[in-house]
Amino acid sequence: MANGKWRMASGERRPRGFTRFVRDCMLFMLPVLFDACTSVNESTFSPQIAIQGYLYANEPLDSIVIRESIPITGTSGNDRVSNAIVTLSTGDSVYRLHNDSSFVPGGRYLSDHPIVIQPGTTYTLRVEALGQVATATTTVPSSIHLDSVTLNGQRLSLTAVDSVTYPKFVDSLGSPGILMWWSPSPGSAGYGIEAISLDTNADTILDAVSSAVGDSAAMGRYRFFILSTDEQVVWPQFTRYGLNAIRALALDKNYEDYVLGLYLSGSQFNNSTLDVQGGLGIFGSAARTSKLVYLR
Amino acid sequence: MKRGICVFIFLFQICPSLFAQHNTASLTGVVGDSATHEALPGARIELVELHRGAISDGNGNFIIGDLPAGSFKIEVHLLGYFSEAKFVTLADGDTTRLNFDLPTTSIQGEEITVESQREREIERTSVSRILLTPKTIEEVPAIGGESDLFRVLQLLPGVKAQSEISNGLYIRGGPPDQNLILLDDNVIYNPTHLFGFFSTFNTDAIKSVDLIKGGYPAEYGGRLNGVLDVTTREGDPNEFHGKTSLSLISARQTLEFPVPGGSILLSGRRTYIDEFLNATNAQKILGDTIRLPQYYFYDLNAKIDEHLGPADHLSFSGYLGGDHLYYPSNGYVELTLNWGNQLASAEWTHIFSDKLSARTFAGYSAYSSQSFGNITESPFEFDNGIQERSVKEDADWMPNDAHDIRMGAGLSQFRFNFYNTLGSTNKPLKDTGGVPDYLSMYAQDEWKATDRITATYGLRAEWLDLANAMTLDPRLTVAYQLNPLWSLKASTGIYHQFLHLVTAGEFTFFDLWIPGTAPLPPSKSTQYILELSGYPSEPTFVSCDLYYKKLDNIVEYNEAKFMSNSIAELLPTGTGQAYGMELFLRERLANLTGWIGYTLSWVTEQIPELNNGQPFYPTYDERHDIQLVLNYKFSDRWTAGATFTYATGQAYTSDIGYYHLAFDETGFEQNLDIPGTMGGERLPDYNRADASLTYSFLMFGKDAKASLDVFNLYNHRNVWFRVTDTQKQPPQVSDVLLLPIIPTLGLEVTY
Repeated sequence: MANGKWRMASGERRPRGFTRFVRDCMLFMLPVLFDACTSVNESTFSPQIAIQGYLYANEPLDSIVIRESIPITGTSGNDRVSNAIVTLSTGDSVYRLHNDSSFVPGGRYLSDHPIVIQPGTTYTLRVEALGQVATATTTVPSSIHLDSVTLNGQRLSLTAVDSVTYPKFVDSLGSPGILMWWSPSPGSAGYGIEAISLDTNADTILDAVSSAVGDSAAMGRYRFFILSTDEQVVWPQFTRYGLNAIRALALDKNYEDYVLGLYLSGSQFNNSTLDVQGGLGIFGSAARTSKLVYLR
Repeated sequence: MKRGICVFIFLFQICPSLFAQHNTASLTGVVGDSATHEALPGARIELVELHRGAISDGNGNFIIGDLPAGSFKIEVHLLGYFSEAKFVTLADGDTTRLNFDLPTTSIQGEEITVESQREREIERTSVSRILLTPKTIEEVPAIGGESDLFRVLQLLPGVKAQSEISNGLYIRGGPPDQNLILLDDNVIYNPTHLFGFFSTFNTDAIKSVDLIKGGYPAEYGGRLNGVLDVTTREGDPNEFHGKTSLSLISARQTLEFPVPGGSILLSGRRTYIDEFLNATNAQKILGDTIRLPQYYFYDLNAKIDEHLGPADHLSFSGYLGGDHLYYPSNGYVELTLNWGNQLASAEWTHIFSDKLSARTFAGYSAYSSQSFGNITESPFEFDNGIQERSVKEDADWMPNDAHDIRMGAGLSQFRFNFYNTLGSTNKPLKDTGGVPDYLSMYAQDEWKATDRITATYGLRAEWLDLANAMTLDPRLTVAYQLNPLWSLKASTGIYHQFLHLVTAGEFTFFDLWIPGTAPLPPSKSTQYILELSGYPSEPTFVSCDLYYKKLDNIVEYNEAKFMSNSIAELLPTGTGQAYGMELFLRERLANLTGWIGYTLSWVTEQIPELNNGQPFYPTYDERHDIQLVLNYKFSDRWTAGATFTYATGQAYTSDIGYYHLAFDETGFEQNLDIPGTMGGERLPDYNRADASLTYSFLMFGKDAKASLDVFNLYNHRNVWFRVTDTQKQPPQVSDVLLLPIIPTLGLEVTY
């Protein structure tokens, strides 16, 4: 800049139309550019139906729990939905589930008649509440049974309750800790094993289980989910001495998606993978088999 | 295939010699810097009486053929250097060698960063292209005393970082894997250290940096977005030199010395935090309650240059760099991480005449990462890597003053490996395939259509056997010289990418390259760029770029499927677009140099599997970004530098709600988040200033520099990311903050 005017290095005045030309180019290009833009819509909160339902092959239906979602600024505690219309159907059979009025928080739905979940059968859950309809479908995996269980190098009986000496420190545990073989379950999406402490007053073996792996810290239980039958599990298993159960599970896709989602943190949880149309939550099924063992 | 490559090289490199004319005199030589003896590209060599001339190439070489016998005056000119003249007598049929060593001069009375004719010419005809010298990089305040190329590039408009923790280059809305990063023409696949905190480029070994932010010509390929072409400098062919640098975290050593016919440069650096901790017995002092990890990274650069004759130049380049982290056992976990790059290349340049030259390149590049250890006595190992072996042949033919034609072809073989081991089970990722071949060919012409119009047009063809897909990418850049100082440029082109990166974003250790196969078609971008640039007053440079980029088949990592073995589920594909405007003003006053950059930009993506199939902003979408870089020379001894960055907040995904869920009969309960629109919210605006002060002096008779660098001068803790804890009632939102003020000292001795 010199004396308020743009000048060329030689001192020659710039062509008068130049500035206008540049300005016109910019004015032309900007609308062209930004007219092609994609708009991103902001999302706002509105309450949704949240389903909690687990079906197990050859076991009676326990309950279906219905809640509503809570805004991020709100607190939980009053999220039960007790006035929903809930039906469970399979083929031509339709079962109406009713709110358990004896359960004070509400939102727990039971069948009037016992329903034993059949392996290989497809069940559809329909929930009408909050002016919305949520549906979900699961096909129950085929039954499984244990073929063999080895714990810390000792092969266990499949019928009796074995008593096993178990080390205090996981460092002393042989690898793999549990070696299990079970029958395949055609149609299942994945498998898992879990060790459940049935004596919650017994001494602790595993002091700290990562809270990042959500369900692992629950009620003296350690779970490990795997995606194929040829995978070897070598992780620590038991949290307490005393009576424990070792269990193998064959999961349907909904159940597996939910389990995998538990490993994701915070906002990365992808609700769209939980297979509930028009709502949130889990409606999944599994087939499971257990072996009791006493640790001393 | 190998036979085909040999024939191909023969045709390119040998056959032209059959047609070369040798019945007249020729003049050849090298132009270099008289002080550093570095080769100078872009110098203009003129035979005054004949009005004939040539421009020195990237290695400073020139050759002028078809000359008559006689005595002539030769003048060499290069902006930033004193011109030099010599007299020569040429004999019929002979090739005469004449070298020039130009002393540096000053612009407006000061020695400043040299702007060469080549730089000026590139700025006149190329679009979205910026050249950087090592001096510019060193003038920018450093962190930890480590001048870092990527951190300097992030101060240019259109170039961003995910955060100050991460060093990946996000150029015009494209993530790091969409940029082609070359070291001596060899692709470097993970150019970062310390999980992305530092780049792998040791500034002591850099000769030049060429950044093309978009609209790159047909000679480059394989990436959707931009090109960063880094060249290692040659050693001094005349005498021994050394440079030793110490900073708070690392030591660097560079040696260069002549060998018959050429030179060798060796440069290395290593961090020494681990050695410091060992020497101070820090672990013993802390006891067993805290286990100190041991970490270091290192780089080794080597370059050998050999002038085999007046028309042949041979160079070998190598790079070896790695990171090592060991976390000693705390009773439950013991972890070792190793990762790094290995590059080696050989390049032969042959000048047939002043009109024709050819280059043969053979290279090897590998990146590998390995983690292994024990978790509660259960061993595990996780390995991944990529290897590329490539050969390339390029020819540069200037049939007349109006055309500069380049053509070439290349063949690469890739090898990918990925597996994890848990106990005795190996689990390879499916669908990565075997050893895919990648073939590319291109032809381009820089055509000076008139005195005012230069058009660079070309076509690139690429083929990857695994994808069984061939792509054809036309590219065009037209530069119109509005007047002697200003030019208007427009560029458009199609770009394809066959390789995709699975990354954990901020932590580059987990970077996993995979080839495009059937579920992953090649990604495609179509770019439109308009640039106005010029020199309103010497030596001020300004530019304004408008760009629009349409993206197809781009991939995003679907974290919700992180356990999946299916590439299609892990990396869903979709579309996107990026557009914006960049302003750049570079000023070089008497004692003050620097630049101001401003970026206005948008990036959106739309992928059916994410965000319910709706468009979203990726996390690196930032609306406004301003950078200021200043360097002031108080005296011959004291220099100060400062940078300032202001950016509006990055996109992030906030939680809009949550719901309660129990896990079957166990009683385990948790609150699950309900995320809002992906990238629907904005982090607080970012701002940071860095500063440096350098004092030059003599130490034991050698040139030395002591420097003080202050990162985050006013200790503004910017927000890295934001988390919502819905397990607390009511849910709590908290910010994870970035780095505080970090002052560091450095010492550098040159001999």
